[in-house]
Amino acid sequence: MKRTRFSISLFVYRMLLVLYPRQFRLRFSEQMQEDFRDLLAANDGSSHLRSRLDAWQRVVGDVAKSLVHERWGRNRGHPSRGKAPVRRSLNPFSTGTVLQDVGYALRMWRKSPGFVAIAALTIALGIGATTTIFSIANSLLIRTPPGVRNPDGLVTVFKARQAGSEPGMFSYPTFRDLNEFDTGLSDFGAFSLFTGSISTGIETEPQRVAGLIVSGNYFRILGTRPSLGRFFAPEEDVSANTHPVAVLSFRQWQRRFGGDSAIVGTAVNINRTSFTVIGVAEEGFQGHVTGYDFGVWVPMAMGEAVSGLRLDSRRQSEVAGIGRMAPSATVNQVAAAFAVATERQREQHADEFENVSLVVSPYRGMIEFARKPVTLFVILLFSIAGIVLLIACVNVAGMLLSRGSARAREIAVRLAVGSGRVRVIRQLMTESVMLFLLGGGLGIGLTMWATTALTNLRTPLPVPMFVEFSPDARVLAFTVVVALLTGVVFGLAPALQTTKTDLVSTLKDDSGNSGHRRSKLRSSFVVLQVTGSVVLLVVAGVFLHALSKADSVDLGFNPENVHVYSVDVSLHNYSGEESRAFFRTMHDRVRALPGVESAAIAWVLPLGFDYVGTAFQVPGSRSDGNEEYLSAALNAVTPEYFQALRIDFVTGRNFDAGDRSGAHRVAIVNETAAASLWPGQDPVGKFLDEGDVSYEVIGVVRDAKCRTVGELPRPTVYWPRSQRAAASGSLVIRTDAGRESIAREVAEIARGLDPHLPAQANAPYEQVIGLSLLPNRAAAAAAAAFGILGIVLASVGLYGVLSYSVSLRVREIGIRIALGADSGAVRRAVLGHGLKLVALGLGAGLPLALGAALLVRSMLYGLSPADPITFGSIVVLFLCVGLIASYMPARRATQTDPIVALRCE
Amino acid sequence: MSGTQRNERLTPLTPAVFHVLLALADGDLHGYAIMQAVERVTAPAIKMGPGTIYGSLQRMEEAGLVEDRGPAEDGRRRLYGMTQRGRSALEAESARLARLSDMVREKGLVPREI
Repeated sequence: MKRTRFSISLFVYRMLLVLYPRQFRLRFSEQMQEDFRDLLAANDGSSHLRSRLDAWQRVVGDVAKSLVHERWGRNRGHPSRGKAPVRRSLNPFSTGTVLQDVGYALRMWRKSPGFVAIAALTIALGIGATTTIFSIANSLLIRTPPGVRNPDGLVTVFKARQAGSEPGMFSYPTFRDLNEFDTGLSDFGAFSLFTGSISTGIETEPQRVAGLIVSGNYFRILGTRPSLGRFFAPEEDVSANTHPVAVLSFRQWQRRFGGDSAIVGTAVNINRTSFTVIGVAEEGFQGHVTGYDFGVWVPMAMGEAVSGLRLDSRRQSEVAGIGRMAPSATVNQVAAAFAVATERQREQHADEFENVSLVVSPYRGMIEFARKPVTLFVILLFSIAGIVLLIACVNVAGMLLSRGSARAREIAVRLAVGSGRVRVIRQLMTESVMLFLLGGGLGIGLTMWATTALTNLRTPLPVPMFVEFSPDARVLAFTVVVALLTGVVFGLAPALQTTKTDLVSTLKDDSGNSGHRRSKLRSSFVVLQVTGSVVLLVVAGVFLHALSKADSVDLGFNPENVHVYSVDVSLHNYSGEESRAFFRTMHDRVRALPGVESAAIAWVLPLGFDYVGTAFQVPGSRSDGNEEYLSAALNAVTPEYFQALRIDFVTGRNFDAGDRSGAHRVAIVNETAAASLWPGQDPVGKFLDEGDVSYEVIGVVRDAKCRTVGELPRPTVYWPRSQRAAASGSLVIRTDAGRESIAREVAEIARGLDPHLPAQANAPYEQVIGLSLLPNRAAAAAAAAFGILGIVLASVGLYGVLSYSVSLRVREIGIRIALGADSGAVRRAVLGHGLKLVALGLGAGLPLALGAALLVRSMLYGLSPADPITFGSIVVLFLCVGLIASYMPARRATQTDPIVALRCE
Repeated sequence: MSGTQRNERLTPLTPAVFHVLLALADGDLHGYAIMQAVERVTAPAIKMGPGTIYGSLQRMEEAGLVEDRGPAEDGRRRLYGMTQRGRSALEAESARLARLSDMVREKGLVPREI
């Protein structure tokens, strides 16, 4: 009765038995099911459920153990063969066996150095690519900047509107107030960024420098040590402007002062104020923010001298906090304490804390708001490198498989004389893992070369940046893990396949079923390889295509023959009047130079370094009295700006001499602003309010790109510089073509006005725009480099694998032809097979590539990710490679004399 | 002589093989009965499942230690019995274990009277 009843347990067990080798199953499955029934029914007083659980508990382990044993543990079907099955085997993981395997692998290497060289090089390219990107990720996102000790105990404090929004700074008086609260920090310090110039007394040419204005406890909080002299003493950070002392970075000391230890006690000029150098920070320390090349530190009390930071002003929100937690405190406790402090501050200083609170986050090297884009960028590069690695590995796996076929007899002999299959598999795996480790070692070499080049790469950025990309122990560990993992994963399939030989036929030199199985595995390698390469190439192609498009994209202005000179005079404590005078004189003198067609001063440069934006209200825009807001980019320009950049007027007039300071306020808007505020109406004569000030729109100009080449047109409002002069600014100078001496002439004029002022930029506009393309250029360059690498690897691999699988069929083809098959038909069949594999790979790869391209869409310049040219050329390319790779061996095979083919393989 | 040598080469036996042979020393048994017998003797040290039992039986059969003695009473299972070679292996292993146990006793590592 019981035995005929359907039981789920029994059904599952029966399913498990299917996993056993066929022979074993045929012989024992019925008995095993009987036994299992008895086990289920065994009822020693325990409940039905309990006995069921007991039975399963016993059977699960048993199936797992015996399955491995029956499938891979011995040589099935040849009872006479193999080591004595009942004897205790040698410990397979003893040092002796491993060394034996290693020794054997080394002997095999000596026999085929060519194979080893090509395979190791292929792996080195894949692993090198991945490790390089990991090295970059490590330097930017994982590693704490050198010289910062116990980073886990550090927190940063910023001001933000809500959690997650862009962090901002607070005022120095607030920092002092916060120090009065018990916040769970053992030490709480402040820092503020500044840029400017540094020079020694003798030197005439000042150098640009980025530095930090810090509270006296800054170095103590970070745990940084001086390599020379000392850091700030408490009394040096108390009263404003009394102790002009500075600490230099090691790099600054080496580069600017030749590592002269007499530097301590000497004077340097920082932003026109003389400071005494009291110490040099330890080697490698560039400040606590990843990426910045801070060269100098001055105490908060000297902030006013270098950047106008006043210790008593609550209106200047220019400092951020960094603190070390008390040993017992957690980040959450500190955050809660700061929340309480914020509320107290809000009661007393409502202005500074309107809609904002203090945000406490665990310290990370990368500045908070840069973290997300950098992470995305790194992930993108990492994925591309990962595909290169995949292609390289599949290539090598294919090579191992082919080599396995060549060694089939050797392996068959080893199996026949009694090696266990596990033992042979382990031997093969040892060989492949060693090969991948060798490749990994070479890959680390490539990474070192690439990261050194990257570290030394100098780009003209507005703020000095420096990142040490060189690999450390973590990168090394990563490489080893990748090499081991890929070695095991990509060595396993060929090893399993190679040892799955039909001994008798292999020894008799007869290509049997195993060849067929192997060719199936090889075919899947071809498909996988094509898939990976397609994704890689499409992404690379889309990037490259997008980049070439970017050069022809309509910027809305014409940077050709325009020279740019930028300077931030506020760094040198120019007053508003001094700054206006400086720019006016600069402008007039430059304008008078021969060959200058037009010149203008602009607050910000389109696609330059800065962006200024604000929200305007539009009076009378809504009948219910709630006025509409317009978030717009801002610029303050002199009249010739539009002519110099060739930004055309759509309607209305340009600024003129009448739009003076104190006169009726006017503004020019771009088409997008006009269209979104006054659709279908004439914007000229309409008004925009910013706070209490009203501006009359006097003209409309065409849209121009503002922050990035890829952005959608954004509303922009222009003010006349005469009505709103800002301290910083740029000169845009349109010259006659080929006017190359302009940079020198402009620099001379600037030096004549102020010899201590370092220019932010003095270069052709096109070069400045190049900076805004830098992330995309870098990604495109990486994608292109990896793409070319990928296509070379993939083509070689595809050719190798396809031609090898055809060459295995030489004998079969010989027989067909001997039996009268038309050689053309045979050739077509072989070609068809190769192309089918390529088509399968394309079929799988193209949708994946489309997905990948969608992911990188935000980096593209208004292109649809399904760029037909890119996709089309890749399809054609792979079909060509597939065609050549199958045709050559097919031709060879059909030309072989059938007699020869039949006689020997 | 040569048979002893061959059996000597089989020792030491794995615990599983030894216990299966031990169970078969009293007569032919089917798989489930062997499982139970092994468990009775060694409980709870060795718990064998069907996969392990039949895998061991197959390997032992290949080594000539046991043989298939035909269907059991219920007709669904098969009986397994020990061959002469199996008996020799069991005896050789038992002798080895006895020698070991003597050695252990001589060193005073276990009390003489248990």
